Amino acid sequence: MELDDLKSLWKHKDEKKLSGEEIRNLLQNRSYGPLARLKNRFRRGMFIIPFAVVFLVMELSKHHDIFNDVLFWLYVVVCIGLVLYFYINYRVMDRAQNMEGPVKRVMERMVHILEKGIRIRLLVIRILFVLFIMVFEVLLYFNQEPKMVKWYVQPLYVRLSVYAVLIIVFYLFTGMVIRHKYKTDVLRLKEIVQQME
Amino acid sequence: MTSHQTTALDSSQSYTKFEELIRENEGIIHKVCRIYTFNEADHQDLFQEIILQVWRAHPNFRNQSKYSTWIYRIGINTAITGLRSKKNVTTAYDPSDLPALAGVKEPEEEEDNLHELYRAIEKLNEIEKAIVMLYLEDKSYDEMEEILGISSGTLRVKMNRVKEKLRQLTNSITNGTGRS
Repeated sequence: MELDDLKSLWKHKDEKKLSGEEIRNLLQNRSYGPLARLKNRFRRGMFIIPFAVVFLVMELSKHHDIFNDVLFWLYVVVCIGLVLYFYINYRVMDRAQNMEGPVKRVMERMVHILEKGIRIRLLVIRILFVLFIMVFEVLLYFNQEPKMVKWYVQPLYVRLSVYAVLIIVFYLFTGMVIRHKYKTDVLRLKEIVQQME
Repeated sequence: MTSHQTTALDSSQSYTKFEELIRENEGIIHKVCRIYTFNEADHQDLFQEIILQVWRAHPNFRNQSKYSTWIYRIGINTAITGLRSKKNVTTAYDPSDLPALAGVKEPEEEEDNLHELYRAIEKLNEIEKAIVMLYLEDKSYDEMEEILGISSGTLRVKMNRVKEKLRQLTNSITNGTGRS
């Protein structure tokens, strides 16, 4: 059988017509698409973290003066950074979800957005990590936390060497994890673009 | 009103207009689902996902193309980007669920040939499936170009290759089942 033989069957097949109520019901459902799932995950992260901070402030302030606690401020800095991270990702996914436009252009746009998203994610996470270390050092300098005194009495070169090793390991680890996580999607989209050449 | 006579959507026309346009063009969405899915459950899931994407995008429709063209684009883009990522997706061909054959009374041999052709279509890549669907819809190469963003010259070459590939695939399926 040739493709042309399928034409008449293809055209004459009638599908059940949707009622207004059925259309409304369909719109009540949530999108299952991969981008929608990622977007929801980032949105949840954006809202959960501020709640976690408020909860922590309320709980810890009952027992001691957390506003003079170095570790607490360090925690706040990390949380702010994470909210920023989730927000950037959310915006990237929102843009990637746009399905309008000729197929080739949309696929190329998605490849570009996903690759850019990976770069931004890596950049933000790595900057956050370096900031975390810097804030940790600065706060310890001004306010020596008793729990951290063993670390702070170490010579500066020892601390810097440990930080350098941590940054290198973190750099390699995040690169490996994030690229691995999105590699399949990006490769698949690139393959589709290739199919259109 | 046909899909060729649709007007641009603006915020004041929102839902009623959307519902009206979906009713006029839902056949297009079913056809996209039919070419990209091979059982009823996947068909329904993809149908719902395309409706959600159209609803999300419809305030942006600016009448720069026909509404039907716009729906084809969103449908194909959604199908291509969403299908494999869905957990537990079933893409195996299931003749009993095949929407195109449901209720169609054909001679037995003719029906077998049709099943073979569907099995062959299933083996095509995503873009080839889109080209086959638009060909079955009798779209001109210019319209295909508008939907897919591939030049009509390239599309002609691809169409010939797809036809040849389908011939080879149906032959190998026939031989594989022991029929000549």
